[in-house]
Amino acid sequence: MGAPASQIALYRFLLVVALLVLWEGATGGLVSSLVLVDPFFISSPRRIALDLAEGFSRGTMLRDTMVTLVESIYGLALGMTTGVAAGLALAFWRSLDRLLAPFIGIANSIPRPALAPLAILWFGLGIASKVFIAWSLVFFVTFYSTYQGVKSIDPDLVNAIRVMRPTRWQLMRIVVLPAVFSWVFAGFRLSVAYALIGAIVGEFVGATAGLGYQLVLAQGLLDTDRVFAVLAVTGALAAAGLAAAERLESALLKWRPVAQLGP
Amino acid sequence: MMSSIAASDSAGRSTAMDAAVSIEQLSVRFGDVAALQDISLAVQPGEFVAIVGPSGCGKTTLLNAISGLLPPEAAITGKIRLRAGTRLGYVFQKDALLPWFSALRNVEVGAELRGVARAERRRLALELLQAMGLEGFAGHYPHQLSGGMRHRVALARALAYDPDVVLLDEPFGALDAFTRLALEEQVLGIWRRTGKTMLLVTHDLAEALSLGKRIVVLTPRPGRIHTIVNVSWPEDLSLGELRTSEQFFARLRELWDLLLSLGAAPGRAAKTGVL
Repeated sequence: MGAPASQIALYRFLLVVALLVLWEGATGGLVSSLVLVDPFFISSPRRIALDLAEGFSRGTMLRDTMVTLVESIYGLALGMTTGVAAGLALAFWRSLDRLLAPFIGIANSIPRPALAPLAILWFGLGIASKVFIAWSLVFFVTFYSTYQGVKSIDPDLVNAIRVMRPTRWQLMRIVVLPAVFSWVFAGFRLSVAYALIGAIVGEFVGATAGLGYQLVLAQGLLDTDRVFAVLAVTGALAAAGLAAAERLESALLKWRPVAQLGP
Repeated sequence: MMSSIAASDSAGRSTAMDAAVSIEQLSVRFGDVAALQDISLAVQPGEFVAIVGPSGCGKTTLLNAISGLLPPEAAITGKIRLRAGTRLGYVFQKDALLPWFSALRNVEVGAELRGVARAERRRLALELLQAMGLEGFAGHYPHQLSGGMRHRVALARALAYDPDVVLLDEPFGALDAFTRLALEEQVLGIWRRTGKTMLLVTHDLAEALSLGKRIVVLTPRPGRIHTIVNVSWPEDLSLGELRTSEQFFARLRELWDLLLSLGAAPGRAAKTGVL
């Protein structure tokens, strides 16, 4: 099974430390006479740390993080519920499926940054427009998973239950919904990442708060330290979200066999 | 008991009103392909009927017709009557367990669909798992169980539904010989204890002969009833003992000869093929 988890964690930590030391060194932070790259362009770990400390002590960084987090969570929740509902509706209602299928494909291929100005026009500069963009990404992921989930239900399972004359609701609860949820939660990590991306893309285009808004500000001021500081927080937020998603996923899908492929 | 195979066409055609399953002149077509033709069969309550025939003769189609699982494109003529309020159990070759539920929950589903109250469901499911020798595996998911165990759970689920008629479609076809014998023994035991009506489709003549009290022999496609064979064995023999007895071999051989005479015994179906 390879190295134990604790060992992997140690290697990961060492990898990060090595990268940071290299970065700090290249920008002259260790030996001041040796500057390979001007920190104006790539900042440096020390300067990023100082900027983070300042941002959090002034409270702005935490406030912006919370704004983005809340937008992502709303977008995620709305996208998943509406996506499951729409996926079920189209999977069961054939004529609706045939009518709408091409439009759904087209709608999903619209680049979200192109949608963002409209979202801001419709929903304003506040969190609603960001929730909308996040929703528009999560919705389609969930919609397609749900649809696929229904279509790939083993007919033998349905027959085995149908023989015992279930009500429609019993068949949904015993066969259809568990099958759908296994697909939806298999794509859960992707949805979490999309929700965050959607929120930040929305903030990029027009906002008064949030990590994306901070990024745009810092970019305008050519403040590389701040750009990296915000990216670091975004990364941490993503890592936390993905870890939570992974936990939920493995708890909900523990019934699934895991194939052992290779070492 | 050592009598030669008794063909009783009339027994199959008599459609007594009190039959558990009564089939009258049933024909099923899939487009241009006739799957079953003019099948008439009355299965009495508590009877164990085995259905054998060459591969592709429509055995499974017959069970699907009885259970109402034929696809919409199947053209059906004739009549199938079940007694009012009949509950059907169906055990497939694939165990068809719900992979997202534990063994216990899978069995509970059978009771739930019969309308058993929640607390009672659990008790019944545990009892059935115990009867199947699976008491330590209630919390296991299907993928954590062996093939034989999964089939036991599937059988327990069917029994939890307390069916009047149990349809068995090559239920043990995918299992090794020992597991298979143990499960056949179990099915026979259940039949003797509960008196449920059982319809077993199998390509294994020894299985049909040792479990069925009547054996319906179907012709190659389109499946028609060729012969119905009556069987009885001494009750005190175990399946293992029966299967190794002289009398069993003698009848097995007669049955084999009969199927060979149909021109397409199991494994010989492709007589007109390119090879």
